[in-house]
Amino acid sequence: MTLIEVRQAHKTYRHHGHDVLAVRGVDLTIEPGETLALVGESGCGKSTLGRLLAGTSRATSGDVLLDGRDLYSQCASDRTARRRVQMVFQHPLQSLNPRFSVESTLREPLRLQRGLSPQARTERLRETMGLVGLDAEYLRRRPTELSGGQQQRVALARALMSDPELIVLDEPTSSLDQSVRRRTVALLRQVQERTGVAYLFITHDLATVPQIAHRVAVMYLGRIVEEATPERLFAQPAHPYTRALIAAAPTMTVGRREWEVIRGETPSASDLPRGCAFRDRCPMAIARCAEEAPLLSEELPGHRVECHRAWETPSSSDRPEVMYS
Amino acid sequence: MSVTIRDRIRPGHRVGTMALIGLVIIALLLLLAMIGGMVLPDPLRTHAGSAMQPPSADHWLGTDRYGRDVLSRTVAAVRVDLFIGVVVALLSMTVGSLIGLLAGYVGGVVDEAITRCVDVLMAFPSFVLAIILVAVLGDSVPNVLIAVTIGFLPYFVRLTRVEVLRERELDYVTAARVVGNGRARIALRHLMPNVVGPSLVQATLVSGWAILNASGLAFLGIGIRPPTPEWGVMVAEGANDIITGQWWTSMVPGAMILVAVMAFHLVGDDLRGKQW
Amino acid sequence: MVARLEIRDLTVRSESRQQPVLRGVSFSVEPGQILGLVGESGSGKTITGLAVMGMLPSGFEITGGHVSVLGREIASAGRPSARKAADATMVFQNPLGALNPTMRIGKQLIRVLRRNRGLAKHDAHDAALELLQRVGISGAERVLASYPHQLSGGMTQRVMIAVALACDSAVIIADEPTTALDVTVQAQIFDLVTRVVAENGCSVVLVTHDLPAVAQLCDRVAVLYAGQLMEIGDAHAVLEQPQHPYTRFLLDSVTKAGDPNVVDLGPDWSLTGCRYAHRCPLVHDACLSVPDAVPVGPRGHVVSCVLAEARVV
Repeated sequence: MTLIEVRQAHKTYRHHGHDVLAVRGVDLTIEPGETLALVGESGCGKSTLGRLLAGTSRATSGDVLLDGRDLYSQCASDRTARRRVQMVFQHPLQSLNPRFSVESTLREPLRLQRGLSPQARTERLRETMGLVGLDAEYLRRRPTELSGGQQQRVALARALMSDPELIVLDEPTSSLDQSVRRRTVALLRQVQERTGVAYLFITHDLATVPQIAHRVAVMYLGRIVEEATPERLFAQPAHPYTRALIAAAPTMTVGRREWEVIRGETPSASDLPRGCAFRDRCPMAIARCAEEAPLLSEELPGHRVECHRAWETPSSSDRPEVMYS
Repeated sequence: MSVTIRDRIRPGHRVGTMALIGLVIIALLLLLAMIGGMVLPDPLRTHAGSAMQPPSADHWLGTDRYGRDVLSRTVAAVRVDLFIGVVVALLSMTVGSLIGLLAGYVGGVVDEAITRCVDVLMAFPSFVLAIILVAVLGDSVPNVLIAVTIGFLPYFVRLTRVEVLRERELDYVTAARVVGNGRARIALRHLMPNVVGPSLVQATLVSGWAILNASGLAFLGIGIRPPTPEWGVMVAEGANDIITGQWWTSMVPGAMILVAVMAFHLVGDDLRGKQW
Repeated sequence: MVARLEIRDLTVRSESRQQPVLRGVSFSVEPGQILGLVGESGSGKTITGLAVMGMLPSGFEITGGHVSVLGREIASAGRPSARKAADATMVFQNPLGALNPTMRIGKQLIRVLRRNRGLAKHDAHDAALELLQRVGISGAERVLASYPHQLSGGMTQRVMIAVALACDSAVIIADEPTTALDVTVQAQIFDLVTRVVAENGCSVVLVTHDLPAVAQLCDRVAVLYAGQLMEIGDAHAVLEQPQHPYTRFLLDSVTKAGDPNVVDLGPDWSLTGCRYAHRCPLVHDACLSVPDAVPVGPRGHVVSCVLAEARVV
């Protein structure tokens, strides 16, 4: 039974008199216990989509379903349903109440669980601390007394206290030091193996994806432009934007390299071009891209792409990926 | 992040010398308030025979027209004025910040309505407002307290509201919602402690201003009346005596008002970050 | 040739701590070179950049060593700031914080140009346009007329680089310049930096914790931990054949899977000898004293570790 199903979800904001189309018709599913990575740069709508799935924001149109029923209304009205979906945020220090000790922060989710004896609560507390690898002595501390990695562990523990089925992780490692990122992702994976929780792993750092994701979806300006397993995506990226993302990311191969990878910057979500939203920056854009927006199609099983020229490699007639806007 | 009292009194924050003086003065006043009554002669006891005596060995600050010892009256008044100052500050801070919390968190029409009311109140100087309110509510001591309290509400409403508007966007508030807290609990348990800092600082200043307003009203004959020892009352009683060169009946309580208000100001300004 | 930037034995102390925040840090950057200054948060890499700029925050001061640009001393214990704009400028992580939000870009850029090159107003305007085009901004007129908040992150960072160029600085300190930017924009900025260094011959110090970026952008790498320079050398040498246990640790955390059970330990500021002693798998008694900088390979590959074997250079 699919845990999460999203069908043609749209989310539009009003900002300074303009309509910002943050999410423009997204379809996705998340099965129990699996990790879907949502990759994209600023302005692509991944955080907005994350909030739709976390139940803190309601879709303007389309369906966001938890077990077949509307997620937002369930979370708003039903305590038990609210526990099923939890969230971990990008800036761990900001996501923890500075005046609460770690223990207070972790005990809060338990308040909603009636019928738990004090011993059971303490036991759950101890158990969850163990899951995230935090010593009992951290319970007394305040967030400001912890390192970034430790703060994020506390945030994860708080999410786990509700025994959720899905955790939305909004850029959980982006504000951590590089040396701590992989450890944190490894911890997330370990927790998933032990508890069977599903993740929506939102990130802009492609490097963290293969470690933890069963499937990856690449977002651009409110739409999913490519979706596949991490192996397939890195081996054979079919969308020009995916290729640019992969090419732009630094790797540990030492030595100066070519950095000219893509032109321009992401246009504003309140002022979208007609047709394909990526065409102004795409090295392979043709006339058709300006007239007709491409749709997500699944040419290879398990690998969906949204591009008129998906799977083609750039030819000599295509524009070079030079210039800045 | 929100600024807390602890942020302002950071380790290494040297409390300015002036603020230290302020604290010492307040401490002395408190001491006087507590033990004054035991050591000094009865402030209410009249003695026609020794009226209008200048400061001497028997009466360190002289006597007033009814023969009452000015020193003991002044000290007795400490209790009254300090009480007013602290009570008004605490009351207006509590009520004001709760209203500000409501306005900032609920937003919309409620916020609009509250902001408009606050704007109206702020159009008047707090003293004038207090006079108007006493006229409306009736002249009694509790009403004076209420009137002076209301005069200071706008400060706290605004301070808290602004902090709430900023703080509620932070992730820990969203996290509190995701974890399942109801809005009331989020407002009171999560937001309130983090937004109340500036109000606490403002409260020290308001303590001083409350004394000023209350004694000002008493001087005009509103609210606290003789024979209750209160500085404003005493100044009113002794105002005419200056003409005949008898300064101690009005100058002493007047100086006390100055000293008390200054003391709270020095402390409050230091907390606000202004060094002298 | 005289190194553009030379830092020798730099020691910086802070009021709040017994142990110095930077201890005996030495490195140099040649013209046309990019040096990556790598470390975790709290390693002192930002303080190093600020010391070069003469912009140490209050409570911090240089207590030993010196900083020189083109042979001229610009910062030392007695004189914390003799730097001129032509010596060194800084590009910050948050470009919006470094630009005046109430002034149009053009005005700020023209001011810098007039001050540093003594240009007349009209010439400065043309020079500003040319600079913006050089940093890859098309629509330069529009940008000159804009306010900082109207530009995107990548655009503002380009403007910051243009300001650095306007100062004709010999050294540019870039403190986490792309941490707040998207990866595709980061690639564009890295491309720009490489071009600028090639055209201008200036020296760049890239302060960051992003090892892959350093691997692919920098000629030399200096590894900092708790204010102690652990290893320095060519990028290939340091990143492919690391000699210091901490460098190896850093590389492993980026290349290997990651062990969730490893405890995140911060620096131990009570250590008087090697600053990595409390985390080092190879620690022994000799580590109680400050390790010497030992040359271990050609072209200035130096390691601060008692276990390093000196090799004839």
